[in-house]
Amino acid sequence: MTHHISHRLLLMAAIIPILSACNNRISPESQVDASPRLNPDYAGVTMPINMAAPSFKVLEEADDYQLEVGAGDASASWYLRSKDGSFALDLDKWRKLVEGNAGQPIKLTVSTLNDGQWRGWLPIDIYINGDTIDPWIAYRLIYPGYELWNRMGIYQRQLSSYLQEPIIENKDIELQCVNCHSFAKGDAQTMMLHVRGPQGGTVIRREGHDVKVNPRCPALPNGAVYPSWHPSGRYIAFASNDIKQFFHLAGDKPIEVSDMWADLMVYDVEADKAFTGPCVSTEEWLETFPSWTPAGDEIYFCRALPRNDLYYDSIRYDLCKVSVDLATQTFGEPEVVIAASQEGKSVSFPRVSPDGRWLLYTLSDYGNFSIWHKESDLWLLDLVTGTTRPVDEVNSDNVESYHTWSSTGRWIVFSSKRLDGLWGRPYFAHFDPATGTFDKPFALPQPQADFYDYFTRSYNIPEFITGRVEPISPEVVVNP
Amino acid sequence: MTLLEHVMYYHEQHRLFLFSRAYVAERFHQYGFLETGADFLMQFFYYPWLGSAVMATVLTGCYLLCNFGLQMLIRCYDWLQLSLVAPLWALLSMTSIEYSPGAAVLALVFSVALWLLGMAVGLVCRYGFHRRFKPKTLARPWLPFVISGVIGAALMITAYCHVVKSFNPVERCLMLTERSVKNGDYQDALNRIEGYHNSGRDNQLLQYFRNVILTRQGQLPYRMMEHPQRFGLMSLYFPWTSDTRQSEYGAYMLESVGLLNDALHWENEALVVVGETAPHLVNLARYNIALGKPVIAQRYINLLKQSLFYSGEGKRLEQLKDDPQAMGLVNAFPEGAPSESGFFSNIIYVVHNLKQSLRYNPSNKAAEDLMLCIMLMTNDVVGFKNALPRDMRVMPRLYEEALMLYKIRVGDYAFAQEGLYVSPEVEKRFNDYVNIPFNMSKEEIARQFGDTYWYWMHYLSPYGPTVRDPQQQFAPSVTPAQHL
Repeated sequence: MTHHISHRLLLMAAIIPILSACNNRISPESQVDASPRLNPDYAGVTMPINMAAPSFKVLEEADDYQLEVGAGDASASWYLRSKDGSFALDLDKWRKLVEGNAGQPIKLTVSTLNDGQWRGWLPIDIYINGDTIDPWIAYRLIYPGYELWNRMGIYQRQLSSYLQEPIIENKDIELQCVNCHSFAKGDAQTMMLHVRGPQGGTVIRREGHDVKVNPRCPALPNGAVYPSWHPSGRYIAFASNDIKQFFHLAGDKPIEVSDMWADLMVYDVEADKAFTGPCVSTEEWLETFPSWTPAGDEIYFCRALPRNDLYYDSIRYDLCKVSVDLATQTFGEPEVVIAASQEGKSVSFPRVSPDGRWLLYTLSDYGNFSIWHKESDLWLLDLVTGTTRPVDEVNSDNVESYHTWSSTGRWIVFSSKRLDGLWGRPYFAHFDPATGTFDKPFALPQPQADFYDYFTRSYNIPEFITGRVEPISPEVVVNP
Repeated sequence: MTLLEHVMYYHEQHRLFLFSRAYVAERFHQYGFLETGADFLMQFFYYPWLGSAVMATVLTGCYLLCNFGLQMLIRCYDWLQLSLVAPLWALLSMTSIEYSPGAAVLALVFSVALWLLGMAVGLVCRYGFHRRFKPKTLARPWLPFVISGVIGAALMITAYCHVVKSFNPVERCLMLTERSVKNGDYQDALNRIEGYHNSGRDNQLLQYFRNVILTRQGQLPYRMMEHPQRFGLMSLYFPWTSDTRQSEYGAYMLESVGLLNDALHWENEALVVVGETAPHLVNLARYNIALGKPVIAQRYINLLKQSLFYSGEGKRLEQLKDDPQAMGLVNAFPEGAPSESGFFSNIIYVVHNLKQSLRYNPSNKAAEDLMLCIMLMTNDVVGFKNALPRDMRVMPRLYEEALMLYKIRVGDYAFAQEGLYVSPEVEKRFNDYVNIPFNMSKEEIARQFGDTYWYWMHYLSPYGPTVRDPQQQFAPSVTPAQHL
């Protein structure tokens, strides 16, 4: 018995200092008049109330780190210690903290130990906005390759947690390429994606029923590529492109992706028929990246003059719009909205906000595959006043490209390569429609602080979805 | 394991076990337990002796576990040597690169399961561990030993026959040559290729490796024709054909001549096809460092640092990541080369890329050698003549032989007017070649003139026996290599 008691005492003696070390707050002996740098940068960002807890690494050199997490001016709710500056915040504690302190910024206070002395840094605020964000996003995960592929998939991620689930993985469909997933107003029940390979086609889901089709317009030489769902969920506008890749021999940009041919068409999902119009399918112009307006009567798209030589950095796309009469299946006359080419710039990925007031687009120096253009930035067009501006509060000195509005129009998700210049990561930014401004964006939170340091795949085409997508059965692809 | 050294090397190079939760979770999800376990086992073949020791331990363990489990189940010695089946099957399943080493993991799982079953039965039936069974006294006590010996020997002979039958010497030579090239042991690689060549066989990938080494040693135009170049330009570089099997090899030659953007392109594609494996992570890190992209390089280095045996290489690269020169790579387009309009890579016929690189870096001898040799290997004698530097102090015999063909084409006067020169030795040999007796056998012609450009063009060129018309647009036939 004595033997057992002595063992327990020894055990307690060992545990108590460990526990106390975990829970005891270190009071810094001096103060640094700056906020510490975080990676990813969550300082001053605005997050929705239903977003998972961020994880990050403090970039300041130190022997030991302490993080205090609290809300507003109240004392910290909990403390964390780390030897390498990595902090992964507990999801449940984060939820309670955020929900229990509505309207108050979350304060992250870092202390660092250098030369035996603890130094406190100025607190970092994370602003929590009451506008909830759509609960899921969908994306494709791919290595930054160009032509070949192996394993890939389209996944969905629950934003309030770290849960990631496949929508479809190509290991289940004989390693064929899956791409261009798109949802009608973010509806998980109304979606499509392309499959490239021997059993290729376009998988379309409506009201939970999946079919594989081959949307083609007899008048056009190419098949369906870039999609945009009509708000009714019955039509999909497609760009019909012949696309080629060119590799830079020198310089920073690795690749140029260019249209050899591009037209627009509208596909009627119910009738399995597509139509086009002479004004959006001429040889004179390359028309691509269609995007319906919320009213469903107009399509915004990008248009450029083609070139027959290798000088593809001279192809610049304007932002145009064209009316569409679905009853008569006719297009109106295209109208140039932003003549970017006259300014030596090029527009890609126009997206109209759900309220129809704003149009977000990507602007780069040339071409339309802006994801490979370091200079690509997001721009905002006020469709009421016609004014446009770079979204400086969101842009970085690296690529900002593919973007989507949330169903409420209060959030956007976009691809940014700001972390390293090669891999696209999803960033979110809150939008205030009253002022037409965005808050500071933040990277998709991950369960590990160093997740993005090790993850060598890109989040391709991040799209909001309003609910969980039921995975697509491989049978639809391989045995329709 | 020495016999299977190349197979183990192949697997070690095509798998990389990372000590990270994310890697294990992803690998489990995508490939399952057996493949993840195989990744773990194969990492030890970084040191062949260590890998062999680990594998021998695993297979011996399989035998012992099976043996114990079986004895517990059947309450008798395993006279039929059934315990050998699982480890032998595992061993035989690793005799070719086509098979997955997951077989060893499966055998181990099976053996553990059998052992546990035996233990459970033993416990339930209260055999006890020490008194598993009492062998009956046999009238002929030597008989079980004989049966056991015979069956064991039969299994071993069968296994040996299988190994010998499935042993692929080409595969072995390719793998071990590639290892030597990667390790920079060029003499060993050349010896292996020479041995293969002397056995009367030829292989595109081996010729490619040989030409890569010769390029790096500045010997390409001097020694290339010592081996018959039956594959034409396909043994000088890999024109892009979207063939996944080739994706791993394209970067070697491109790196040798400093076309780092192109080499990076190939390595990115290899990463897509093969996944995060050590050779490609190392190359991606090296190229990105040399191209001044340390942040991107760091991502690949981070992965290397999570492995058991490449973490040292990762740390070494990390220390050098801010110094593009530290990689010791030639950059055909040094900093400041303009990324001008239409300055795109020709991924099919790299002569265009090499010409551009020589505009910016005329001292890039490797690029010049490769460009001229590609021109020769595509019958483009006129293009070769135009691109040939006139200030060459010592001209390789191959170049003189090509010029000889040009001389015949344009005549002595025009040839001299262009400031070109062919030595009397080459002229004499050419005269001997064109005057070979009508009845001389092909073998004798090959013996006497097999190392000349004339012989290559007339007998081996995939593009026919004539000099290509300079106006003719060239599009090389790029049939996928047969052996890959």
